[in-house]
Amino acid sequence: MRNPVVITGIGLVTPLRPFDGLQAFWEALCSGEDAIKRAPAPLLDTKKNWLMAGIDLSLRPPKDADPGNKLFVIAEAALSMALHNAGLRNATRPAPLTYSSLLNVGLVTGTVLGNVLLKESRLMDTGKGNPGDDNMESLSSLRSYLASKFELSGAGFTVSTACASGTDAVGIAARMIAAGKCDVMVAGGADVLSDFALLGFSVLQALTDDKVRPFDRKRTGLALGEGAAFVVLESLSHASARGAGIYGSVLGYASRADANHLTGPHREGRGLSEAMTAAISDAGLASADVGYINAHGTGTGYNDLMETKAIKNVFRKGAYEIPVSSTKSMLGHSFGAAGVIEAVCCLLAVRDGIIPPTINFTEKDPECDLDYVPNEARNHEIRTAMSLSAGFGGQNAALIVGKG
Amino acid sequence: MSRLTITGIGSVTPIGIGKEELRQSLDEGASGLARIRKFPSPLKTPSGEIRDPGLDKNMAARFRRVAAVSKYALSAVDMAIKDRGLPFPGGNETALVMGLTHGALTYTEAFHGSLLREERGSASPLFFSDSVLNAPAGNVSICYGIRGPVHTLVGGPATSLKALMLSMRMANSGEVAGAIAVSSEELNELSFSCYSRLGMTAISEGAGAVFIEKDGPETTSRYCYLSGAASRCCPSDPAEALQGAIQQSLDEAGLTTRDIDAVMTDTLPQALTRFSNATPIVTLAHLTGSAFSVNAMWHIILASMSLQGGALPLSVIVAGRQTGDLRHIMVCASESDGVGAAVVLSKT
Repeated sequence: MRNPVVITGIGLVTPLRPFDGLQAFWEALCSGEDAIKRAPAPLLDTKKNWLMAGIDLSLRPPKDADPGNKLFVIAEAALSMALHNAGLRNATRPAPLTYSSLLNVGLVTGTVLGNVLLKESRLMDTGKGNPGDDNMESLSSLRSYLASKFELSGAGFTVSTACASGTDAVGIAARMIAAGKCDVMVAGGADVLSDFALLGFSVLQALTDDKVRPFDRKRTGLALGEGAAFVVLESLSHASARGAGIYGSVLGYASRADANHLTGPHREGRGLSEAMTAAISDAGLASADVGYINAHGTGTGYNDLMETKAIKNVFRKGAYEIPVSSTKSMLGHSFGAAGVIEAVCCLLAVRDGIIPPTINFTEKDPECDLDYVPNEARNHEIRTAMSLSAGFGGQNAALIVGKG
Repeated sequence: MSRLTITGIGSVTPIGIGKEELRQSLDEGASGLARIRKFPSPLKTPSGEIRDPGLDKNMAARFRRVAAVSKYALSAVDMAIKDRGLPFPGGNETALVMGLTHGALTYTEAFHGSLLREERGSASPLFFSDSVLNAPAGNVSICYGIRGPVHTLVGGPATSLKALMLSMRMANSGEVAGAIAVSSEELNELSFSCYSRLGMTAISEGAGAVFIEKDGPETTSRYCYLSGAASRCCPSDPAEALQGAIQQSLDEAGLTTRDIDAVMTDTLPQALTRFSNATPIVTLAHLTGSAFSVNAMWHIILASMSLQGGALPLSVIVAGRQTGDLRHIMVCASESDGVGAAVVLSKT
C-alpha cells in the first residue's frame, strides 16, 4: 500500500453488551463472556430453541425510539458510534454532520443477507410481493439508508463476499485511500439472524447443538450470531492534520479464492494460505512479524482443520509461536459483520497487549495443534495482528493491522 | 505507462448470445421483448427473456444445476476469455468482480418456500448455497480456476460500472495481470410481478463480461482503452452525483464533454445537459429491456465494439447523431438513491 492508512473511529453493536460501547464489549470479550444462548427462530415456529448469539434490542437506551427494522437499527447505531468516536459527528445532534469534508467520505458496506427479515416477514404474511418490496429487500438498501442518514457522499458500494464481506469491505476501502483516491472512508458490515440462515445452515448440517468449541477435538459446528461494526479509515496525513486519535494502521490486505467448492473450504486451506501470504507481502512484513491471528474459527470440523493447515503452511515452525484465537466462540458467526468485529479485536489486542481467548476449549485435537489461547485472555505485547475470514463461494480474506 | 485495455467481451442478451448475434440484431434493430414464457403470468408486460435452451450444453454437469444467473455469468465469462485470444492466465493472476442487483431470486424463493411449507428437512442445500449473492461469482471462480480476488458488488444500475472500476483498480495496481468484470441477472416471477405493478415496462435478464488488462506487446485483441472512471454518491440529489462522476471521469481521462462522441446510458437526462445536443445518446433498453445492473455492462460491451468498428448502430441512437470518427464514448448510470457512475472508453 502506498499512502499509510489509519483507523480513527470504531463503532460496533454485538451480542456482547450490545449498546454499552466499545470498552464494555472488549472487557466482556476478554473475560470470556459467552453471548451464545438458546432462543427460538426469529419468525418461524420451528418447535426448537436454537443456539445463537442474538442482540436484545430492549437493551437500547430508553431515549431511543421504536426499534423498527433490526438491521437498520444496529447498523445505524454502530456507524453513529464510529463517526462520533472518530470525532466526525457531534454526539448531541444526529445530523447534519459537523465535519464539512464528510461530504467526500465514502461508505463501503459488507453484508451477506441484508434486509432478509423484511423479505421473510413479507413472504410469511402474504406469500406475495408488493410493489417496492424489491428495493427495500435489496442488499444495497442498507448502504443507501446509511449514506443518506449520515450524508456520506463519497464513492462507495455494497460488497457481498459471503462471510468475508466485512473484511473485504475494510480492505477495499483501505486500498482506495492507499491509492490516493480519497482521504476518508467508512467501512463495515452488518447482518441479522434470520430463519433463512438458521434453516440453511441446518440443512448443511453446520450448526452445533453443543457449545461452540473452535479447534477443540469435540467441536461439532458453529452458532449463528448477528451484529454491526464500522471503522473510520483515513490517510495518515489527513488524520494527523485534523489531530485525530489513531487506533492503529491497516498494514496489509488480500483476498483470494479457493476455486474449489461453493460451500466447503479447500481441505488444505489453499486460498486462505494464499490470502495470508499476499497480505503479509502487501504489508511489507515477514511472517515472523505477525504477533496474533484472530481466526475465522467457526467451530466446524472442516473449517478449523483447514485454517490450522493454512496457518502452518504460511508460518511453518513459527505457527506454533503465534497466539491464534476465535472470538466466534463467544459471539457466534455474524456473517458480514464478523470480519469487521474481528478486525476491531485485532486493533484492540495491539493497543492493549491482550489476546482474547477461545472459550469452551476442553480437549486438544491432534490435528489442530496450535496455540489457541484456550479459555482465558492473555497479556501479550504485539505490534501487528492478522484477521482471517473465509466463506461460501471459496472466499478468503486476510487483513493485517498494526500500531498506529 | 501501459494503458488499461478491454481485450475480451462476452454477452448474453435477449437479442443474441455472443458479439456476432448481438451486432447482427443491433444492425437489424431487432427487439428481444415479448410476453414472458419462462413462467406462467397473467401479465402481458413485455420482457427480455434469454431463450437459448442450449446455453448450458457445454458446461460441466455440476454447473447445469446452478441458478440461471450463474449460467448466464458463466457463459458471458467463457466468451470473454475465448475472445481475448490468448491462453487464460487464471490462478492468482486473475481477479473477478461481479456486479449484480438481485441474484438468484428463483432459488431464494424456492428455499424460502420449502421452509414455509415445513419441508425443512428435505429442502435442497443447492437452493440455499446458490441463493447467496456471491454464488454466481463463486461458480465462475470454480469453473475457470480464478483464485485471485473474487468480489461481488450489489446495488442498482450503476453497480456493474463499479465492478468495472474495482477491476480496473486491481489490474492497474499490478495486483493481478488481468481482471474480469461481469454482471448478470435472471428474470423471476416475483420481481417480474413487482416491477410490472410499479410500472416498469420491460425487465429482462442476461449477462455481460469484459476482460481488462494492461496493454502490452503480446496483446492480440484490443477493443478500447479505459481512460477514466468515477463514482459519486449524493443521496439528496442523484443528478448532482452523476454530474460529479461525469466530471471526475473526464478529468481523469484529460478530456472535456466536447471530446465525447457518444453517451451510453439509461439514466437522468438532466445530468446530460452539459453535452452538446448533437452528441449521440445511446441506449439498448428499448431493444433488450432493463436487466438492472447488466444494462450498463451491455453498454460497455457496445461501446467497445463501436470504438473498434468505428460506428454506432443506428438502432440504438435515441438522440443526436454520429458525425465523425468515434474516439471517446462515455458510459454512465445513476440510481435513485443518489449514486452516479461514469466510465470513459477511448479508441486504441
